[in-house]
Amino acid sequence: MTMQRDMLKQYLRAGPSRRLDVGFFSRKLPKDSQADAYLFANAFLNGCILFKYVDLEDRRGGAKGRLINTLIYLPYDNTSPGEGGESIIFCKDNLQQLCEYKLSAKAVDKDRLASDIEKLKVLDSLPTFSPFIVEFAFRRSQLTIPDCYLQLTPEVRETLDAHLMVRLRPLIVARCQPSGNIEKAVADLTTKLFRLREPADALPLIEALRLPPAIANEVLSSWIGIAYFEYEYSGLQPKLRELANWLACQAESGHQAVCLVNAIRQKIRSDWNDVVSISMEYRDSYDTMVFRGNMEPFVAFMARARACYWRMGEVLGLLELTVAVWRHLVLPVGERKLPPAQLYEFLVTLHDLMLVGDRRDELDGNSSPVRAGPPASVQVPSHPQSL
Amino acid sequence: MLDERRKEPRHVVVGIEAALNGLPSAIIDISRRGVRLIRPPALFVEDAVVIDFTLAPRGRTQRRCFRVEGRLVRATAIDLTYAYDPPLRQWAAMLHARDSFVQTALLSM
Repeated sequence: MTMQRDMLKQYLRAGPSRRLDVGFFSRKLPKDSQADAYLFANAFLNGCILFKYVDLEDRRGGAKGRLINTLIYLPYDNTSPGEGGESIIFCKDNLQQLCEYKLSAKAVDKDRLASDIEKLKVLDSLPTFSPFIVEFAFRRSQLTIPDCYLQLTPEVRETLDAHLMVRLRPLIVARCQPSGNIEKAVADLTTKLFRLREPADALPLIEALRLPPAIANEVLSSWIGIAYFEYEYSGLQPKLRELANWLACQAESGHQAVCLVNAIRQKIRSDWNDVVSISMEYRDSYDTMVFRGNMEPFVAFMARARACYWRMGEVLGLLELTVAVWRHLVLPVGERKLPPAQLYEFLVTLHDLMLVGDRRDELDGNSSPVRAGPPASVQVPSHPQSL
Repeated sequence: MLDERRKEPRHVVVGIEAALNGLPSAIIDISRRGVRLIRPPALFVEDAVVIDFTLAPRGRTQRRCFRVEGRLVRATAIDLTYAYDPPLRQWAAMLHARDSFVQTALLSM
């Protein structure tokens, strides 16, 4: 697999939903830190950057049946990660081969490798690297992630906890009928939901929502994830509207630019409306259950919770990255108009970023509205053998 | 009263605390003239209680407290519903602004 240099640079600007800069956090640790202060047991992995990456080939093959993969990127130079490096899409075999390549086959410590695989599996199981979701997933898996890799300030943590608690409380009270000390029962069940290791932990809720025990944990985790995404999206919304307005102002910039602008606007609109539709369905069904006592719509929604969670994660990552790239370009320019060549180059990059999933149509023989020209590329090998 | 309250929009709110006769009780949902709370185990349920609402500081506004008289509408093993007279003319707007769904509402593009 190769990633174009321009694309790599945009990915490096992505926010926490798409990028986890393990190397950055590792370098902040004191030099004499113990091994367990680092995220990974294999030292070379502590210099990596993890991306939630859209791998077109994998999507077409449908191996995992999902759009987002976890890409482990090891920059050649940690101080200039945009200048290229080595990368693999995470899976057990790929990681083993990478370790053998990096350490030589005899030096691979099986325990360390197993420990790193476990942690990467947890990260790979998520649609986003948002710190709250990562912490939640590690807690569920009974694995530890050092706090320095999460960047969750007490204020942010408090705000998120309050947001989620307030959402869970009416549901727990309305559906679970706890006995004894009600306040304590609500607090206990909420804590258990946040930790959620065994289905038995949240049994009253699982029974009330008629969830099949085999998938109950996953469904409840997805639900918490959706509630969390609502919070993230509400912060992104004003910036995205700014971007949409800016794009609308570029409508007189020549035919090619206008085609790109229209394709990007269409993509933003369609992705955003998908998320609004999920959010509305969630709210309406929740409202019907808590305030009107009819739980059927919420039970139906919960059956789709995992797919909705992944879709929201996928779109959040894409839109957050798009906004970050746009702000990087536009903020230094201020009110001035971009020169046409720079504008066109930027629109091509944005188009590539946003429509990468849809290029499947191009490969399948359907034409995309605009075909972007190839920028200078950098090889980011996908497989240890090709390094 | 219950029927009347059902017609009002109910909010799941962040940043409002309540105490019933001085005993803290979590708000489940609240409307302009009614509130559903978790029943504090130590509370002796009476037809009338004093409800103290405390609004956490927000932006430039300071912490604010309002005392109202609550009239019992319904009591179950787990929750209590009281009717009350709004302490402010803009009370409904204040509740709306602290509704966690409203705060995270997404608009179509």
